[in-house]
Amino acid sequence: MIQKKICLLGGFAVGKTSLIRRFVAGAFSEQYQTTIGVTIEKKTLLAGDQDVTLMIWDLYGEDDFQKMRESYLRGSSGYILVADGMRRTTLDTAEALHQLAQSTLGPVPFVLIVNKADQLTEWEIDEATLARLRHNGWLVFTGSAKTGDGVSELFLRLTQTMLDAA
Amino acid sequence: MNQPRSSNQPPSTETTASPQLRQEWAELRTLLLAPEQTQLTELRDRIDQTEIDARSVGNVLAEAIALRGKQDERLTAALTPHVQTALTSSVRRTPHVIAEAIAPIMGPAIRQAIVHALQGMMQSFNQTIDHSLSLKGLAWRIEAWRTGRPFAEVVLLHTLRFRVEQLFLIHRDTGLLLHHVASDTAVIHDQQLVSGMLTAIQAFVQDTFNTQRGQTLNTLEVGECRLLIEQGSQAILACVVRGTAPGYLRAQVQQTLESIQLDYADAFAAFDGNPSGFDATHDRLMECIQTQYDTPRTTISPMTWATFALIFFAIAFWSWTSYQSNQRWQRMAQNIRAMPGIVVTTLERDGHSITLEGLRDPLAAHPEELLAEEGIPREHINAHWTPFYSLDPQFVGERATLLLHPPETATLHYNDGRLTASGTAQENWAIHARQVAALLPGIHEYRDEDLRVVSRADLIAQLNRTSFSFESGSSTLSEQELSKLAPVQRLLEDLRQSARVASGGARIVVEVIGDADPAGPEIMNFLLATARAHAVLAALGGATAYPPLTLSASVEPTSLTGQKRGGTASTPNARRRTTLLVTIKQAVSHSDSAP
Repeated sequence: MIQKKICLLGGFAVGKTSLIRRFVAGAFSEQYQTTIGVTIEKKTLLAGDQDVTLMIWDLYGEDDFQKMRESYLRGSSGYILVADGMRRTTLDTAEALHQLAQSTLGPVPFVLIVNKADQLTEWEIDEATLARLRHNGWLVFTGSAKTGDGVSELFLRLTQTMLDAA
Repeated sequence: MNQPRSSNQPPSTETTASPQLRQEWAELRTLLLAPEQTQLTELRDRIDQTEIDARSVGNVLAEAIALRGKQDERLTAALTPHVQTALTSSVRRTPHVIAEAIAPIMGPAIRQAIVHALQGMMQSFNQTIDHSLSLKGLAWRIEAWRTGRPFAEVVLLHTLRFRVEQLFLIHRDTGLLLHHVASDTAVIHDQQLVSGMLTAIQAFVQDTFNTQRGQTLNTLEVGECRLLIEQGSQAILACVVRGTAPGYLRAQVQQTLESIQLDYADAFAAFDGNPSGFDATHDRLMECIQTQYDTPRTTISPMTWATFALIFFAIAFWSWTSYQSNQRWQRMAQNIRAMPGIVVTTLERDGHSITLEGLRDPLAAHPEELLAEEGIPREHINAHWTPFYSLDPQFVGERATLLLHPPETATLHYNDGRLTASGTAQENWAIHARQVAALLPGIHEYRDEDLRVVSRADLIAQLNRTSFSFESGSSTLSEQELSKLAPVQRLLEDLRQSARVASGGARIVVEVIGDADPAGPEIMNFLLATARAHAVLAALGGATAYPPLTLSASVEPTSLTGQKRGGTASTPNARRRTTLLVTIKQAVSHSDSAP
């Protein structure tokens, strides 16, 4: 069985922990709990014909007061950028974190998920922006930790990309 | 084409036709059957080719598998489900084949596991026994009761010097777990998460405290649990230790990590997340799994000594008191059986209760009294006695005295079947005793030769003859006269005894009569006679000295000199005297006097 370390990166309160909880435990909580430091979860999934155990590092959301510790990123085989569709600035944070991750890890696979698709009408991020990112070679997903839409696909796609890159 | 022709079919034109005709036939056949013929040819070629391919693949299959296996894990992944299915099918169909195949491996493994488990159990058992009697063990028992943990576990935790419970071999860059080993008793959580968190903590500490390169977190301590962390260039080896880790353990962990990094350099370089390449580190890591207990004490603890001494003294005390009690009981039983007038038929002791049964002379002492004097409460004594007459000399004589009731002046003495009466007694008592004594149990012979038998008439006659003489004009008894008092007193005593046993209500009166000679004035003589009577009465003990006898003093009138006693006038010397006059007076104012 192969193990892979991945990280979830994103701004404050974009739903990183909720995505992980949805993926690992199939649950969602409306109650917001901020992540202090880092928590680690584990999930085994079947990618192609191979069992892969993902060690998912849930890093605290970056904001003006807390900067990402590069040391937590070290050793990741890939990462997931998380943005909040209702806040345009979180996409900017995701892009900045992408730059940081690339400089730390090198060209490792990554995917972007714009979360909170269950409230699509309130989104500030438009399709054109996402199209631009796709055009730049990004794997862009939209989904919702609340409904579970796109969550499994997100992790599976990253896993397959990591296996292909290996 | 090779089908047999029917018998009515015309002969083949091919054999009979000319070459031109044969050519035409061939052309016709080509025109009609060309596609089928082509397919037939291709099929024949494919069959031939398949046989050749199988043969050729078979020749290189082993080499091909080996080569593909070296490239990546896909061959393994592809074969794994089929091998699993085949193995499952084989086990279901012919289990004995698999059993026989793995028996050489499983046998020793099972034996080793059992031995290991038994050793652990025995060690734990010994520890528990060693500490079960000590003061420390008592405290641990309280702790076990308080925390709800088994006593053996508490003993194990306290007597443990140290125990290496788990080792995590972690890939340094990714924090992924490469291999994990643990002791049998360790509580194992998700080792992959633990591995990741250890790496995160390591990174957090390094970032937070901005440590220099090479300075890493190398120890975590929580309660009795300590985590030794050794960091190498490729891997981290984390060692979970319970108790106080000895100094050499860190060095051993360090050496183990270095040797693994050296021997598995290629595996580290090619690590892509698959930890199977590090499975072979298992034995090397297991060498670090060790347990060391406190050296068992060879001396016995003071508490144990005290306990043994207490038990010894308790047993000794119990034995001694039991012996004493038994001896005391034997002595009591012996004394009861030896009691005169007692015949014991049952003498039992059941715990605190004592049962006594038998025969008891009414004159004998009570055995219950004896037991009570020994401290046995009366409520614990059940006594049932049947009365009987004992022939013990002590009781025969006493019983004779009680039944015969001799007067105080007479004495009964019993010796060897003979009852002897002595002293003085009334005649009627002497006759009664003589009749009854022979009938009493235990008395074979009654003797009363020493018994002086007197009658009341004799006593009264002797007393009436008594007189005390005085000098002229004197009322004082001379020495000679005083010597007469004792016999008179004995007579009075006998009379008194006689009066006590007398019936009919008669009263005996002893009159002390004073007298004087006629010389001188009459009044003086009267006073002198009165004084003389009182002097004798006083010498005899007074008026009430012999109840129920009544003693009184009186004077013989001059005109009736001697008349009162029935005598005659006498000489003057004979009148200077005091005499006694005993009369019996009946209750109905009728008096009678003795002659």
